[in-house]
Amino acid sequence: MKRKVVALLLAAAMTISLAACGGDGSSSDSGADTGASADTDTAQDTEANSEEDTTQAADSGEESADTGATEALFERDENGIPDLKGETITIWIPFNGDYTDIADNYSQWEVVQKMEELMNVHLEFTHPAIGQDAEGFSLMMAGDKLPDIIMYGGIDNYYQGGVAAAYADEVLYDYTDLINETNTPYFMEKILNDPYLGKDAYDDEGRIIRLGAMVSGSEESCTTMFGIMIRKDYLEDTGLDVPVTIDDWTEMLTAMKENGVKYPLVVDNEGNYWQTRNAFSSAYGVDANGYYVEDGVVQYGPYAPAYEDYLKKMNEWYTAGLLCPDFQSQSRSDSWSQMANDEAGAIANHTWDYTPSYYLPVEESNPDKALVAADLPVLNEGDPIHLMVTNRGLALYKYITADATNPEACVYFLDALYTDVISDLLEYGIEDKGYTVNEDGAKIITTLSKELSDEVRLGARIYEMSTASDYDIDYIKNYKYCNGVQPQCIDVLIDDGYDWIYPDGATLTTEESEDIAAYKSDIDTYVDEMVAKFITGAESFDNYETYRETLKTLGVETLIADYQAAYDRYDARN
Amino acid sequence: MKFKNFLTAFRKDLRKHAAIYIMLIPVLIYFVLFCYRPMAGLLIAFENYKPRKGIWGSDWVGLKNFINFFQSPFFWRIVKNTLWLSFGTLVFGFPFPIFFAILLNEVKNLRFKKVVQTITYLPHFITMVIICSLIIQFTNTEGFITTMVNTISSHTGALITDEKCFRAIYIISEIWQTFGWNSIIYFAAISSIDAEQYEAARIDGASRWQMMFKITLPELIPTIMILLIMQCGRIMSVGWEKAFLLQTPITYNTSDIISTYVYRQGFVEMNYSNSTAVGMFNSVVNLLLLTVANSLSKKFTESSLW
Repeated sequence: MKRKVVALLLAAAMTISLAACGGDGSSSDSGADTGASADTDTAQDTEANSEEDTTQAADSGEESADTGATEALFERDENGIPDLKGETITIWIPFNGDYTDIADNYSQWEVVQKMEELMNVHLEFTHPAIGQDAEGFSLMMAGDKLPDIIMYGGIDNYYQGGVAAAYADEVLYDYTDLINETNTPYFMEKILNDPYLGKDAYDDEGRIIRLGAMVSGSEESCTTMFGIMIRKDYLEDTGLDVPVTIDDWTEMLTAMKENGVKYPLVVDNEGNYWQTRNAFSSAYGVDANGYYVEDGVVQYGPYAPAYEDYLKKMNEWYTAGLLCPDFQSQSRSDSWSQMANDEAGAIANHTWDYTPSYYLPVEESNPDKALVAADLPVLNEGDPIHLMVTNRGLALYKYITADATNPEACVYFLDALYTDVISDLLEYGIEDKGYTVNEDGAKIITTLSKELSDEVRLGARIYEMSTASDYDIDYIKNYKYCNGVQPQCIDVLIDDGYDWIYPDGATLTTEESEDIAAYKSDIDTYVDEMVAKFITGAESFDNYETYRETLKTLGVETLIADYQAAYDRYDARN
Repeated sequence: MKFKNFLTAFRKDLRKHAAIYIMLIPVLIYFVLFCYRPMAGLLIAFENYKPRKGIWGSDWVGLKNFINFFQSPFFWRIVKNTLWLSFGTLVFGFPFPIFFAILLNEVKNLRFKKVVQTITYLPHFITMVIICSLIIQFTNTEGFITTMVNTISSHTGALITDEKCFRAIYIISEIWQTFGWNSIIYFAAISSIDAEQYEAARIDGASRWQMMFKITLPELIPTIMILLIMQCGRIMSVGWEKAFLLQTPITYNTSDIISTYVYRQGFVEMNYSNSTAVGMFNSVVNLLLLTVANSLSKKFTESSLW
């Protein structure tokens, strides 16, 4: 530990022209990180971390020397947390509906109070009514004055025309000029200078737009929390191995059907995971319901030529009774209860749901009903997967509005969310309330239960504001997705490729967004309807060409061209 | 002059029935706030509305949103479905409570009458979300209604995902849900019929059927007409919740109606102007239907709303 601090101090000392703040930033990093790594990581990891940190500190030192020292607007303490001089910052963010019985504002959270104290800032939260984020967002937009910061992807989800339009309409504040080693050292370290994430932080006009965004996943932790799970006992009854190819799947599902399993495969319409996570479509190299990039060429899954093969296979499964016929109308919990009631053989669902819906109520007390995880199927053994929907990237975008009274303070505030102290606060909450430290020194997030005391519950994390998640694969497998089949799900999926997934960092222009507004709704309606009909056989595949023709008249090619243009601009960023 | 007369009369009436006018105030406020004031918002149907720019600051686009809607490949489908579901509910659903009230009125066992009434009111008090999940459960592959229908007919598979069955499911469940509650007003009307009429008829030797069709039914006609006109006025506003909760993409061909389309445009795609245009079209058609129904009723039955 000491070695690490010394190394960092040396690194800092070597760059003499380093401004006070840059230096503070890197050394503070070491301090806080030391604490965190002592908590979570094994000795080996700590060593690896310290090496990494040293080089990063040296790097960032050089950068700030290049850009020249700028005067820091707010002083930082030894943890790199800025003193915001009692400034008030107003924040719009949806409120977590699980807490409505004890609180109605995040300012009641101990995490927030601690942040206010550490940063010498006053935070005021505005929340839309629970479950009415869209309406609340529009009301806020129609109001006289916007809050300083809008969180939780409000702009992306609810602003018509998206980010580009929001800047064009002068809703958002352009802070690009404020981004430098002095003002935002942590943002630069965690995102801007990261080779994988850096590109996603810009829009096509060269503006930096992702300050405060959450970093999800990491190079070693790029997986998906989606899973295809099979009842182990039913699989053993068939005498087959865990299926790898689509043909293996057909064989296994048919064998299960012959063994009397009512619904060999259950999927639902609620989370629509089998579609949105490309559960079976990735074998055919198509996205089940969205745009993707095949070798630089943007395609729309339901319009791609190979999509017909995918649908034909699903239709074959449906007709043979291998797919639960209620897949369009049943809810996620229906699917899990079919698994629990010995009616279903395999399920495609989110693995987080598995714990409350299956592991705790069923499998824990009844180990015969254990599940095994299957990888995304392929057509021929050894085929690469290109379309795993990964958790890796930026998420939970935060925006500073044009009405912000002190945008500089907002910039410092958002950057400070990346400091280890605050990042941990938001990710885990308060010790012994939001999380407990177990015998291995790992932070275990307290399972939310309404029976806990108010004080404990208000000490919980605020995931919606946090800036880091799921970056440590060992932590995920050992402490977060650690029940029953969960770690296995992650293991089988972690090597799958995601190179064809449409990049989230690509941004659309205002004109492109207008096309989307004009065509997308009708296309979605038509695709949803026809896909369901082809699968159930209500529509014959003889009409497949007519279906594609109709899509064309609905404007699908315009949208593909728009997404292509956006992708090309994204690709051309350095 | 006329206005002056009106004012004096009004002032006099105000002094005489002050309490009634005071009771009127909340109702007025309600209508002004929730029915008239929002009408100003219809302006956004002619704009490219952006909440930040507001109603007055957004760009005018004229009739573009309406033209887009009329040209949409789904225009005829959703109009047709809306009319189908609403006329279907009206034609099949409207007579039910009338006959129910008349028949139940003939039952002399008071206890039995009360029990039946309570049972038929019940579905009215259950929220739509629960009603709809019940319906979905019953008409899914395993649902008991599906099993029943499939045994007695050649139908196979779930009913709820069959586009041919959607209208029947919607209308039949609508009748089940509402006929008990809607019959209340007819019960009230029947109880106000002069008992002497029945007495006189009985003395003249009229049978129960004759009394039902010659006295009860004709006495109910004004009530029936008023309710019918009011129903016509709501014809385009088919309960959107129900259609939304019961529909799945595969049944869009029969289940997608104007209001679910508006929902997808407005709240899924945030396309406020477009969805306001569609909603406005809906209301205009509604108003036309109401006017037609009213004038027809005026002509044929002498009872009308205005």
